[in-house]
Amino acid sequence: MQTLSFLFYDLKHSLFNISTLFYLIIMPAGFYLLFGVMQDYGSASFRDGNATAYVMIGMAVYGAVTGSVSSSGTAVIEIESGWGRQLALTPMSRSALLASKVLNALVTTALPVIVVNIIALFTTAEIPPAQQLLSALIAIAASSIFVFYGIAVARLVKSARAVSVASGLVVFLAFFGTTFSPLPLSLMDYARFTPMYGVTQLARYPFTAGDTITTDTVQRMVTEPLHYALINVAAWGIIFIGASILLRKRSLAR
Amino acid sequence: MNTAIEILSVNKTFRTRTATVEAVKDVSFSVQTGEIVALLGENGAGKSTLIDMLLGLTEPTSGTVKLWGSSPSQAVADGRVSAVLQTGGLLTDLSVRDQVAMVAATYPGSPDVDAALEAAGISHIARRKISKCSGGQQQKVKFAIALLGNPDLLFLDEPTAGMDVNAREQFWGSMRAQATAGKTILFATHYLEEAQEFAQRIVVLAGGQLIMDGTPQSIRDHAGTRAISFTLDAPALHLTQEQDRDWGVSNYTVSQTTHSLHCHNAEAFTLHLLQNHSVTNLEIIAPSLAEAFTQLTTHTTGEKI
Repeated sequence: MQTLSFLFYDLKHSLFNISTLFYLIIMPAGFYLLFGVMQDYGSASFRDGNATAYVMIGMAVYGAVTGSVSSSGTAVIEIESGWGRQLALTPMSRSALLASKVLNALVTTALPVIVVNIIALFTTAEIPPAQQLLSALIAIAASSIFVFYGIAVARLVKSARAVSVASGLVVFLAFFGTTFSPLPLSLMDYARFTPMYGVTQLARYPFTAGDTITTDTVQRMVTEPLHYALINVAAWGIIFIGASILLRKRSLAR
Repeated sequence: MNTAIEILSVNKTFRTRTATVEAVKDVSFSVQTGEIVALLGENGAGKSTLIDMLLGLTEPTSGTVKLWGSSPSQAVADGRVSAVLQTGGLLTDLSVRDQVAMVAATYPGSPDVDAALEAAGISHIARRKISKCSGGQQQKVKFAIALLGNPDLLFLDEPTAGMDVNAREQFWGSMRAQATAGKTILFATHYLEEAQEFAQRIVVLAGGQLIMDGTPQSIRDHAGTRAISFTLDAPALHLTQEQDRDWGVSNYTVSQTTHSLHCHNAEAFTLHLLQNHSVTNLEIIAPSLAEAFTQLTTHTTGEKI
């Protein structure tokens, strides 16, 4: 109960401010409406649904990853900027603090996914409900590797700007991970090695079974094997966790 | 009265890439429950490091720190100790009330947030965002947070930094109320007036070492030197070399019939003066605490080099 009350204020600080809500809600939802609903290709059928649903999942993944990055990055920055010392003077245990931070990350990651998926229900996206639910859950779960990315960047940059730097880089990576828009065939070989690819492919898998739209006029679709996405998420997960641990040691050594 | 703070032969050494810094060197003292103690020293004297160790935020390199016989972190976990730290951060996006209420949520038995705001004198800005508060107001928010757990012991590290004169007076007013309620208070400051006015006891740190521990009065006395001036009919005062040395006479000046000098043993000197000369307008002035403090700290640093 106490932790929940603490979490409420923590979210009020980290989540409910204009700039965070813009990145987390307005951007993914707006992109979905702009590139999913309002485009002619949206109504094109795709497996058991339409292309709008394909775009919707990508925007949900983008929102989830941004949420993971922003919650973890903000936590590191505020704790290292003296808030941690302030909390160290309270009876709150380290495990209670950690629990509230994990819950904060979960809420912040899930919120954009929920918003985009609810908007999808009332717009033109067509996707079987079971596939939509599974996609949303995978988006939330798989993007958790970006929690460690957020921690690593925050420990590297060590200022309030860290979160904007990390989130900005996510936009860039989203283009190379097939998250935002289809890629030319020639870029697919590189895309598979970028960190947003795995999360995006995994989240879309219940709907696409690996079928990925390209910009190629002849071969409009490639089928990506599931293990590409699994290996990608595992590898980047290890890299992000390793980087955050190494950078922690560096910041302790001062 | 029982012992609230016990510091025994505490050393704290920091290693940087280029050098080893001894921030605190062999400091020992204890504070009884209910005492109000000022930790006086210039920047870099070791005040903040000592307070960090008293709060369990850092461990001493050697020696022991106990609060009522248990470890500082235990005392913090029990809610018996709290602090206003220089380096404590606040969450700038929250309102003053939300910020205090958030910390209140970490205490068992939901503390009275409005009472803490009232005691810290910030009820009127409860809805203001932390980012819109002045440095002095943010200090008061930290003070309100420190009061939440109704602690028995309060550490204040330069608590009035960033406050104007009015705010400072107000702050010490509310602090007096805490002291009257029986709390033990240890505050670090480099404002001598604050130490002199508010503390019953002053512990002086210089270069990481404890160089003086006593009442504001006894510190002035210890520093010793008195400024003495008097009017003498005779043109000059004759002192032997031994007397000069034993009484520590210095800065001797004469302007017409007015003589003035500094002297360590004012009692012996004036006795000699009055017995052998016809003296009028005799004045003996004790140094201000500021002068005493400067004497003390320069003396120690001088010794070190």
